[in-house]
Amino acid sequence: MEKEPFFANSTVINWQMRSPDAAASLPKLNSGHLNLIWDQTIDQSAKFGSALSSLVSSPSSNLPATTAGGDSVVIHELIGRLGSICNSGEISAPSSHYQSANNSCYSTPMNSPPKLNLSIVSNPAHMPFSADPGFEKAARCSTFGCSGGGSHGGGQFMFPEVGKLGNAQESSSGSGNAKKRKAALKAKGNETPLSSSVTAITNPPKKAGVGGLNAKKSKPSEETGVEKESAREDGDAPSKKMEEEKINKPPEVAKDYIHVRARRGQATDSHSLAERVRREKISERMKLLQDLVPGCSKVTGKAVMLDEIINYVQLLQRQVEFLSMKLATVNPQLDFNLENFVTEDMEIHQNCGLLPPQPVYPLETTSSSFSFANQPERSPLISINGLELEGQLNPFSHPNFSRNLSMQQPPLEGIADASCQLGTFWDDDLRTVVQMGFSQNQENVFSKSFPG
Amino acid sequence: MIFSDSPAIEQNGILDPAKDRIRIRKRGGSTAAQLSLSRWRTSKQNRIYSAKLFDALRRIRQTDSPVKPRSQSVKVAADRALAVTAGGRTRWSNAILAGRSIRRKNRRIRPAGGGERPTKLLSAARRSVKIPAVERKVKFLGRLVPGCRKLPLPSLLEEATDYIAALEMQVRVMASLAEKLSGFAGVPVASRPESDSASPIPS
Repeated sequence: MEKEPFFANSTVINWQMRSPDAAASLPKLNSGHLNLIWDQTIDQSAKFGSALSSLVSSPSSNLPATTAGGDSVVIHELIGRLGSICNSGEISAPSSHYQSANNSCYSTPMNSPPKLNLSIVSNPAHMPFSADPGFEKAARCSTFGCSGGGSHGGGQFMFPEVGKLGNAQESSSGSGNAKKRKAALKAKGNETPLSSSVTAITNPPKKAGVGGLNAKKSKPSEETGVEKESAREDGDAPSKKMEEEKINKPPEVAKDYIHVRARRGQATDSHSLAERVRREKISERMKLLQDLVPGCSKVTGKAVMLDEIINYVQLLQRQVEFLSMKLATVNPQLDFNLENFVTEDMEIHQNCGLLPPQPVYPLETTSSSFSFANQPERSPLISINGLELEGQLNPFSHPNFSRNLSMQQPPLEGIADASCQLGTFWDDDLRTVVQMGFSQNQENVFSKSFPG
Repeated sequence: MIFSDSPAIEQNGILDPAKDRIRIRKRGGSTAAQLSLSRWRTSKQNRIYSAKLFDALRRIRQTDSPVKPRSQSVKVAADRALAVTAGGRTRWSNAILAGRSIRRKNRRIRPAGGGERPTKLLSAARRSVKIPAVERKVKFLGRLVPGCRKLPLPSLLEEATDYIAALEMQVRVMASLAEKLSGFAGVPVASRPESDSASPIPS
């Protein structure tokens, strides 16, 4: 009971002062006149709503030059929320009803104080005591849905200033602590875990021991939580819990791998953290795929993207099949086409310098190709050479082609063995690379030694 | 590698080098995935792969196996060449290289026994339980990419990225190869699978 009037007193003071000084003055207040003030607060319940809204509207009035100032801002936010709850709930309610509601909440001094005492008892700290019951009350009022409770809660929200100062200990006692913690955390520059307060708010009965859990919550999560909290100033009583759940989500954004202790009632938070990390990984890779798969720049969403990816992979595979069929039919003509290869590829580049650039129609050179056909194994090497050693022009002229070919054959015979070896090594695919390189080297040596 | 002593990428007949370089620059190679993507577009890779492919083709031509159609052996050889070019870093390439001997037997066995049960079970399951669409697609994609059936989505996407890049290179090289082989016939290189399967080659 003392605490209640204490809060009411400080509430009034806070309302009037609206400054960081309230934080300093609050602890000084003590019981005595509190009952009177309490009644005053009840009478002014209607005014509280407006005061709350006014406070909400001027959140920047007390910018955090000091921590207490920041607290006040935070408090305003919270008050705003409560005010909205109040307003949304029973703005139209006459003051009498308002008072009656308040009275229903608070007329029985037995009811509220015990609840407050619950939180108080568990709190060793002085400051938190003052703040927690206020929060708890506010929470309870919000659950009751009575605007008076909201106003009370709002009034008691002023205590967060006090509570924040002493909240470093993370003393927790139910939802009151949670709410206080929320404001306190904000006041402290989002250092303390918001999620803890958030969770406390969402589960008032559970949060008896939540207090110290969120201490280790990462800062960025708190910041995001704060942003979210400030963002959602509107909220009905039922939606308040949802909002607080939303606050729970921002902590996920802070995907830091700091060892975070799981909070009671939010055992899945580590999962949500990990899930967030996983989701970001997936989205990152989807972006890469978006660049790769044509026509997917506008597509958003995993399902449609996956569809496109599947279609594209199938398309590519079908193309490979089709081209392999085509190559298979063309294959018998390989002898004919080998020198075609040679010619066309050689003109692209060549290292061996033997093969002249032949934009000649392959059919015309069939005579020369026969020489190739005799030693089919060599020509592939040459063509390989041409394929791989691209970029160099073949200086040799066309008329020298047949001559070069004939000159090529002797050295190529030596290479033919290498190519046979190549074929046998094909099973060991990885070694073929080496072999091919080897044969390439050999041929290069031969070709360079050729010159003609 | 001895392949390119000269920076003569400009003369690459298989790739458009300018486009290639632009693409690589665009990628920036800032991430590992982008690096892997860009490497599939280098002319060096093209050359490596085309060389391997040509070798395989030659070999196939030499060893004519009447058992299976040549197109299939060509495809198999092309895939293997692609896997070799990829190196041992990606799952799908290892799966291709390892699966040629092992998985074929499994595949023969599995469809026989497993074909009946899944259908019966699934038909009932489909009516009662709707598998999430994304799940279904993920599984389907896992089946498409070799060796990635039971992969979770993030790694599956990674594998798919590399696989798509490799497939693109494969298609490019094979198309140019086919064009060169049949270029004198004046057959257009059909890039669409819908077109006729075998282009007539004048003898």
